[in-house]
Amino acid sequence: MGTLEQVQKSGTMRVGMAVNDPWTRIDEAEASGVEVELLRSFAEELGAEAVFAQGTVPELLEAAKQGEVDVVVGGFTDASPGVREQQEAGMTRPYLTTRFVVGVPPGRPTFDDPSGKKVAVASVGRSAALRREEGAIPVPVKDISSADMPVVAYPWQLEAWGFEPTGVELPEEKHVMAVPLGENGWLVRLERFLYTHRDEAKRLLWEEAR
Amino acid sequence: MKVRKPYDLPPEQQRERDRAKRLEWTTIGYQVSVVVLLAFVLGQSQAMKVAWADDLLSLIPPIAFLLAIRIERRLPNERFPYGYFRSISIGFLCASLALFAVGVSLFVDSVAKLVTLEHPTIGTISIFGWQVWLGWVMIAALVYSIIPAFVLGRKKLPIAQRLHNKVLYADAAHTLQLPRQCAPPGYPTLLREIVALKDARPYGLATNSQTLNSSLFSLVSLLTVRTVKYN
Repeated sequence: MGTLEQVQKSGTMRVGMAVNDPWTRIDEAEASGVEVELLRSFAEELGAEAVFAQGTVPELLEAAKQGEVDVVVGGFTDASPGVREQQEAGMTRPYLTTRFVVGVPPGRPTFDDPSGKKVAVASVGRSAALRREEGAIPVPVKDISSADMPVVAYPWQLEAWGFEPTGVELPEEKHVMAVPLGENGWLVRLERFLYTHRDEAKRLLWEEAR
Repeated sequence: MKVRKPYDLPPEQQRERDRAKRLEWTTIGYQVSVVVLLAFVLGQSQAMKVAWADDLLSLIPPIAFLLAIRIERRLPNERFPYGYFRSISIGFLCASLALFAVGVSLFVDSVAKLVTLEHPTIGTISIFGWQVWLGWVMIAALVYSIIPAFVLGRKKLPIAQRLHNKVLYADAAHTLQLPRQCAPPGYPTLLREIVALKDARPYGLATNSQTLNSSLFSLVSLLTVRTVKYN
C-alpha cells in the first residue's frame, strides 16, 4: 500500500520535524510554524490528522527511509545537507523562494557594502552565508528585532520591526520538504498541494513576523 | 606494386547508397534531438540516465557509416594499392563496439535494478502552470526515442542488405530488435511498472516476482538477439 492510500485509510499523517523557527517549532509541547500549519491543512484535505514527532535531521531522514514518517520538515532548502543528496529521502520541488536581506535600525545610515561591519543574526546557519557572501562579521543575538545594529532577516520582518532594508541580499533559498523515496503518488499530491497553496505559505510567513 | 583501377558501385547501388546517406543524416539529427530532450527530463531516475547514455552511444553507428563510406570511395594509391574498401570493416568495428557497450550497460543496469529494487523518486514539473507528473513526460520522451528510430531502422535494413553493408545493417538491426524482441514480453511489465511508479512502497519481493521474471526474459532475449545478429 502506498503512503497516500495509507494516510487516507488510517486517517493519520506522520510528520517528522526538526525545529527551525519560523518554519517549525514547539510551543508548550504543541507544534507550530509555517510548515506545520501547511501540513495541518494538507492533512485536512486528505481527511487525516497530522501527528508531529520531533527529531534531528539525520534521525528523521532515516525514519523516512524506513517508512516510519510520511513527510519530514524543518525549513529545509534544496541545498540543505542530508536533504539535497536525496539518498535517504526524496525531495519536493521548491514550493517557496525566500531571501534574507540586511536591514538597519530606524534612523541609521544604510549601506551597500557590509564587509567588516558587525551584523546581528538569529541563527548560526545564517552567519555562515553572511560571512561567505558579504564579508560581514556576524554577531549571534537572541532577539534581533530589538537589536541596536544591522540585522539579517526576511524583508517582511524588517518591515514589521521598522528596520530599513539595505541593498545587501543573501542568496535565494528554495524551500522543500522531504518524503520517503519512491513514494511518487504521495509526492505528486503534496507538490500539487504546496503549489496551489504557495500564497498561503507566504501569508503564514508574514504573520510569523508579527 | 601495381595500383588497382578505381572502382565504384553500379548506378543502382549508388542510388541506394545516397538514400542510406540521407537516412543516416536524418538519424543523426533525430538522435541528437533525443539526447537533448532526455537530458531535460532525466530527474532522479537511474534508468533514465542509462537510457540517455545509450542514446548518446547510438550516435556512433550512423557516424561510423558516413565516415566509412566516405573513406571507402578514395582512389587506390601507392600506399593502398587495393583501395580503401576495408574502411567498412573499421566502421563496423566501431559501430558494433558502441552497440556492445549499449548492451552491456543495459545488462548491468537491469541486474543492478534486480538487486536494489530501485524505485526512483519522481515528482511533478510545472508546464505552463500545469502540474504534471514528470513520469508521464519521461514516458513520452522515451516513446519519442523509440518509434522514429524503429521507422528509420525499417527503411535502412533492406538497403543494408542490397548494399551488403554491415555497418548500416548493425545500425538498422539494433533499433528494430529492441521493440520487436523485447516489447511483447515487456508490455505487461511496463504497464505494471508505471502503475507501481505512481505509488507503491517497493518493499517485499513477492509482488515484484512477476516483474522480475519478465525483466529477466526481456534481458535474455535482448542479449541473445544482439549476440546472434552482430557476430
